Amino acid sequence: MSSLSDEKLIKSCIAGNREHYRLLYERYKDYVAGLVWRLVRDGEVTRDLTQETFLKAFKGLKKFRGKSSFKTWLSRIAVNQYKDYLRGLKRRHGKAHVSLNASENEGGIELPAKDSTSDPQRQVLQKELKTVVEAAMDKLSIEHKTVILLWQEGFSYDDIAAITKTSQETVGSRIYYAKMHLRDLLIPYIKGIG
Amino acid sequence: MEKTCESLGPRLSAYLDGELAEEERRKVKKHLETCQACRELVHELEETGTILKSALSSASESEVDLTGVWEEIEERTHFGPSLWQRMKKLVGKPVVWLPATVATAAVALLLFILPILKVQVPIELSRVESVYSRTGRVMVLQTPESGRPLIWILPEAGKGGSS
Repeated sequence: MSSLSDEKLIKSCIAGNREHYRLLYERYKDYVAGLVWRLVRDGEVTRDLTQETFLKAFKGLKKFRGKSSFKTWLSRIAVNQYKDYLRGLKRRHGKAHVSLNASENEGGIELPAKDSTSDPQRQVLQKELKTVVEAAMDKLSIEHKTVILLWQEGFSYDDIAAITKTSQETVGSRIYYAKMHLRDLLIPYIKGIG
Repeated sequence: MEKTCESLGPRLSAYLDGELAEEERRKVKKHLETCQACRELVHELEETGTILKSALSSASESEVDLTGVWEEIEERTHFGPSLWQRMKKLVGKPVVWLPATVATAAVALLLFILPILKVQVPIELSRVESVYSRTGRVMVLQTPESGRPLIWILPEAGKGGSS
């Protein structure tokens, strides 16, 4: 893949270099798809939202001012696409199917036994843990889920605030309460507690 | 955690994430030296974070089939330069070129073209209604607009004339 910086690629794209659009897509497609997939956990929807994210980004590339990184900017578009998707779902199916509030998502998850002596292999345990964490993530509100995924991606509180259009304080608070909620759901897996 | 420590929660989380300013970080660190409950909470948050990072980073992207996505994007995106950029390229000059030209053209229009347009306003010519001359040296012309006669005296040879 090209060693050109994002900034140079973007300038070249704006000047009409079709191949560099492709390079930007190749550079970030897995990241965007991964982020969206962890938000929606549906292959088809992830594919659509990834596509829409890039379409919107390319259409508005001239508006990218470079105040944040391209990845941050792209994440913001992806998160907005996700929110639009949920709003669309809510409009179509009503609140009964789409929960937008944490309070509607109360309840535990079914955890596999902590001591999986029947299957001690590390790889299997990792897969099991992944399933448990994803199920726990689904219990979070959209806001909490979004900040945790962005935090896990390594974004700073400042970047997350820019992506989610909130303050740094709100981001800190959401990350804390989301982690506390997840801690309660993951207690059997936390060393020294379970 | 003591009741008085409850409000510290978000700061403990930010402390772990390295998101506190130096002064705040020192305060939290000092507090942790004396508060067992907060130390336990920090440990739990740290463990939770480790599990999350480990599990979420291993989330498989291969479950998402992106075949054909680029082709769709390609079909729906205009990749060429904008009209403005194409004009710039055509002219091969900096962005200021066109505005400067437009301004110059506007000034030229005001200075030269408008006066010409003014001159070109059709002028109605006077028509001579009658000419009277008895001697051949004095002529009287009369126009319908003025109603006044114009007397034209032809000078004798070697003298000036008057009207």
